[in-house]
Amino acid sequence: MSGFDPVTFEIIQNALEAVTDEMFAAQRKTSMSAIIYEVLDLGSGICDAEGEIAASGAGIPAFVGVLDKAVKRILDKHPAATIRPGDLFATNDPYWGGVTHLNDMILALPVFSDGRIVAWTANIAHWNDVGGNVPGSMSSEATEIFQEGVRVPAVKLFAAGVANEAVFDILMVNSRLPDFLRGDLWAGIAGVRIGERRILELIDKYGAACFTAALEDFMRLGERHALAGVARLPNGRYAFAEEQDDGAVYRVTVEITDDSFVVDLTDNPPQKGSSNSSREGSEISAQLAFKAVADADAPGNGGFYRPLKVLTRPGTVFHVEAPGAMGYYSEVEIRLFDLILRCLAAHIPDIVPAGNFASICGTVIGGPHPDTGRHYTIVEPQLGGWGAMKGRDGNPAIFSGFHGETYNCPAEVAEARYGLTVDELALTVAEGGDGRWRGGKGISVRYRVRADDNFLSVGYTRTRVPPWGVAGGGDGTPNFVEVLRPGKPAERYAFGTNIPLNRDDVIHLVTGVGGGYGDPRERDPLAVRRDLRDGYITPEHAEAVYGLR
Amino acid sequence: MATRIGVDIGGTFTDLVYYDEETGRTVEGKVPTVPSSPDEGVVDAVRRCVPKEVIERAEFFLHGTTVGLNALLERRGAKVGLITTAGFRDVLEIRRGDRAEMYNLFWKQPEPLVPRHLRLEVDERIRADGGVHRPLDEASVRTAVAALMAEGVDSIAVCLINAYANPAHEERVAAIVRDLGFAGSMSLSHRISGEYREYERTSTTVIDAFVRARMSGYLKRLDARLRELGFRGTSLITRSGSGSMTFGEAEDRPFETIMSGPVAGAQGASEIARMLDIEAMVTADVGGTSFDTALILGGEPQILYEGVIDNMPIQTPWVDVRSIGSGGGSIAHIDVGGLMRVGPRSAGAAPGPACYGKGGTEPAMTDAAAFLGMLGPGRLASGITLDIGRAETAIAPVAAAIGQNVEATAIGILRIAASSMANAMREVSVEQGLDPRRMVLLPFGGAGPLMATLLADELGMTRIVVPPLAGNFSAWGLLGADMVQSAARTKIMDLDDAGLAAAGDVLADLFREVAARGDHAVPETVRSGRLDLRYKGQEHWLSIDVPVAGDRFALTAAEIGAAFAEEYRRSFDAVLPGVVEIVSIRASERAPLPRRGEIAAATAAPAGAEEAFDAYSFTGKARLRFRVVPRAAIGEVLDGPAIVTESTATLYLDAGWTASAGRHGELVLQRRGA
Repeated sequence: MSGFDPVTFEIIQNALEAVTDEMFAAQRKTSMSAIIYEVLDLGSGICDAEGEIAASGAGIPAFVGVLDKAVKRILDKHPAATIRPGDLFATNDPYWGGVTHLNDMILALPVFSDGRIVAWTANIAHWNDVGGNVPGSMSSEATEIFQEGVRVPAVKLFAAGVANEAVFDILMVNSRLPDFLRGDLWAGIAGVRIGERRILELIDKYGAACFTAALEDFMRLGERHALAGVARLPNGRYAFAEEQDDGAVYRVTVEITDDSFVVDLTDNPPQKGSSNSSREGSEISAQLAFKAVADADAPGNGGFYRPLKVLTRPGTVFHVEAPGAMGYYSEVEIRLFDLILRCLAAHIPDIVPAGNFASICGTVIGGPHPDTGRHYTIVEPQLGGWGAMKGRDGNPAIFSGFHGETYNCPAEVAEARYGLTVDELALTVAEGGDGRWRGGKGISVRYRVRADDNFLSVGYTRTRVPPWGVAGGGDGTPNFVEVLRPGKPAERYAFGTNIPLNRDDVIHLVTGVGGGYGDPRERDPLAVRRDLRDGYITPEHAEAVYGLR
Repeated sequence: MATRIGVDIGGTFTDLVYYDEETGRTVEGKVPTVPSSPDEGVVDAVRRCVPKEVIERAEFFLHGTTVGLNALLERRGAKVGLITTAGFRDVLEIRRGDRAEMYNLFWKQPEPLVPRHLRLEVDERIRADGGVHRPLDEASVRTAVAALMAEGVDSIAVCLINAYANPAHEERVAAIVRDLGFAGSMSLSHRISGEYREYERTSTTVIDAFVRARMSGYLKRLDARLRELGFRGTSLITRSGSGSMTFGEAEDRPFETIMSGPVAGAQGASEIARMLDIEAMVTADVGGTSFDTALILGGEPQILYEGVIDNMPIQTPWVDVRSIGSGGGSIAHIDVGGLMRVGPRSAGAAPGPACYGKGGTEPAMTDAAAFLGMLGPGRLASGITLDIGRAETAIAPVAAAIGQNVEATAIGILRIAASSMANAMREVSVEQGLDPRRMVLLPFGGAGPLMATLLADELGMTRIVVPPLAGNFSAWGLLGADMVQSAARTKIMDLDDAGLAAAGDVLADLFREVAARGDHAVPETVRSGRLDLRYKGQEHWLSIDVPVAGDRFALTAAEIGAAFAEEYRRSFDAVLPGVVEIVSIRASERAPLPRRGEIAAATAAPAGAEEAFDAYSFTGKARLRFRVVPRAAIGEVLDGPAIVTESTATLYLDAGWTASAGRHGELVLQRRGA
């Protein structure tokens, strides 16, 4: 360690974050699918030689946590001594380091200096279609992973710099959208290669020993932040159980000591259908909750997560065993994230805001383009209302806690590209989430289909059990999807796969209002009048709930 | 080499530089900014610093101001009503749904500029291809306009879905608004931005509507006052994307000036970089209220095509300058956690730092510097005599709160300020993967030379260039701002012969639009065109500079495709096999100002004979004997520690640094042993 100055460490550490941002930007800007370039359903990072995450770029926090777990699994299967410069690995299989579901492809590239691995650059992105039973590959009806698409079990995409054409070919023939897949694959390759180039420049400037020491120092910095954060939380053993939309009950116990934060998930229902999460995926939910309450601003590297332990039981929804399906893993992970926060909120006042719409609200629409006939697929999460907190109303219409620097698809882009008509993109004015500070509003979106033979697949939770209010504030409202066909009654969905749509059918997506905080009768009358003037509440509601006369 | 006057309004001081063709001299001046009425400060500076005959023969008045930006940041603009398409009332509030701080559950989303009850819908719909999906229901327009007039809005913004592809409905709405007798200003989205994405275009349109009246009133008043002083030339204001535009053009497109505040400095820095052949440079513009930093590579500032102000997107070109609220006037205080902080609140020009003796009692960064002796014996060139006793009195309560003496507290104030400025400089250099240690630091602004060696030491930089007229450098940068007009339009087509021909039609159209905006007769203009290109299927584009002949692109589709592939390979290390697609067409017209001479600066230093003075050295970690040297007296090599005085700034040359005079009036500072 000695001999390296802290300023150099700081420059290398800042440079690592710049490198991951550049990797992220390169992949985003060269990708073919809106879910990558617009929704930013991707993540990029740099791991140390052993696969611990050292630095991560923008994008989806839930995705960054995947990369270290993937690299470690790749190293299990391919011992470091067998890896050559120019190798590039791919995995999408949750049973082979893929963590999430088959749609998410992870690429990992070992960075060599003097014949030794000094770091890994890695990224993950959601591909629109990897085969399987249904277009978009995610089916709420799948029961085994074999139904969910092509499996890439931590294999070499490039060996010593030479492309393994067989893997490319297998991927292409298994997708309903091979052109998009090829573009998105090359975007990912561009991302990890730019990362490699930048890291080699750093090593060239500062030396491999200094670079490695800077990574170690960075991990220790992360750990110090985490321990300071844990020390600020009240010690105790906190338990919570919550009923889900389907009647199942999920349970969590969080035990906080001076220097540890243990999340116990052992007492949970058996795995079922495609709403399961891998053990690593459940760890990511716990990591995100831990980060939010311990220190949201600290670097989220491997060192930061050292005080966190997660206990699971194989064969449960939070630790699926092969060949269980997991197309809708994300709804299980976000339920768990929300459950841990709710558990803490129930015992530690004001540690987090009231509950939010807390669902990815994954929405897949596809079919022939009305003007060109070319097949298109939209895969997008939705915005929704967030919970109120002491002193402030909740945010309206933002992405869930699983997304960060994520952007929705503008109506003008959707219309130019997909040929749908967007009839509405507005805030909902559903009643709920009342309180001294009220929950933020969700959204109401109407997509009108302009051609026959289109389809819709959705995976929404919080469709029955609403977002939770705190300190006497009201619960919010649930998420749901409706299909409105001319002259027919509305069809309502939470999960649905391959729902057929024809010309002039309208997809109506509605997301929840966040939970409220405190007694609505204590709300500032000026704020009530402002809500009334802005049309967020009706005069009857203002009088009945807020006592406005 | 036309005579010209440049005036740049900062948060604390209004800086002036004029170049007089008759004498070949460049002269500087500085007066306090009048925040309540910035034009007063400008007129005052011109009247006090520029001889009447120079005003009368000046061909150009060049101006940099943050009037529009401040109106926006402080939410002191027009009461705006927004008219939009049915179903899209909440576009401004929904934004794009992103959460800027991904791990922070308490993050607060920005308030929209227009509240919901002033966002009204009309029934109509244009399709993405420009076709009319639903005709405009004029009765719904009349209802909405009547409601907005009843609310007493000052300004109406109109942003209809897909208006970039067909402006007919927006134009009809505008006609109805006027028919109904609305007398306020109006901003139509298709005239503001021809690019798609409804939130970004609405945001830009609403920003325009919000600042329009304030900017227009300001420019009209200022121009009239200048005419009263005898000015007969052309009045120009800087654009966010570099270059300048006439006051008349700015009244019509105020949003193009919003991010222009720090641009003049970056422009001047580019000129210095080209003059001295410096490949990579970081600027440090330290004013009274804010700190601005920019990266200059190969003599050019970095231009981006979509900006963000206060979390609001704006579709306009802008020079990438990062700003933080830290400067000479920044006030030191104790936060809730008991830690000392510096800024962002500033003592401004009034009352100013305590040591100026104008009624300020709170400790500003300048007070700490004065107490430590970094400003020398205390007679500032601006005529102010520093009152060290007042500085000490102001710092004492903060010192008591953190349990330190005044000396240690003053040192802490400087270190905290330097470290936050250094972080912003890292953002433009290290975080772009570039090492500032190999770059040249260009400090300017009233307190730039004061902070120069501290900042360089923070970042491990070894070479500093202090430009001539450092204290008024932004105003000097203004003098070189060519007149520029630009426009862009989204039209998605394949890049083939037919697509390029259609893009050429759009380009010609854009040049006509740009020419129609001009309220000035310019003999010679330079036209340039760009195409935003991508592989079909992608969303993001690369903007490629394409040579123009007349009002058309001068290359074939194949040649442009090759240039795109080359740029794509340079950016992303790969080339894809797919079809290339045109996204947007950009046109720009530049009218170069006549060239001006070298910076033969006439700076009179206030002090006569050389003195010596005790001041704190950050590298020596103790008070040392500093020489006090007028800038004009520096010849070969001056060894630090020293304090170098000039008319509008004081250079603090810490121990371990040397200074020598360069060929063009600049001072070159070198860290010893580096």
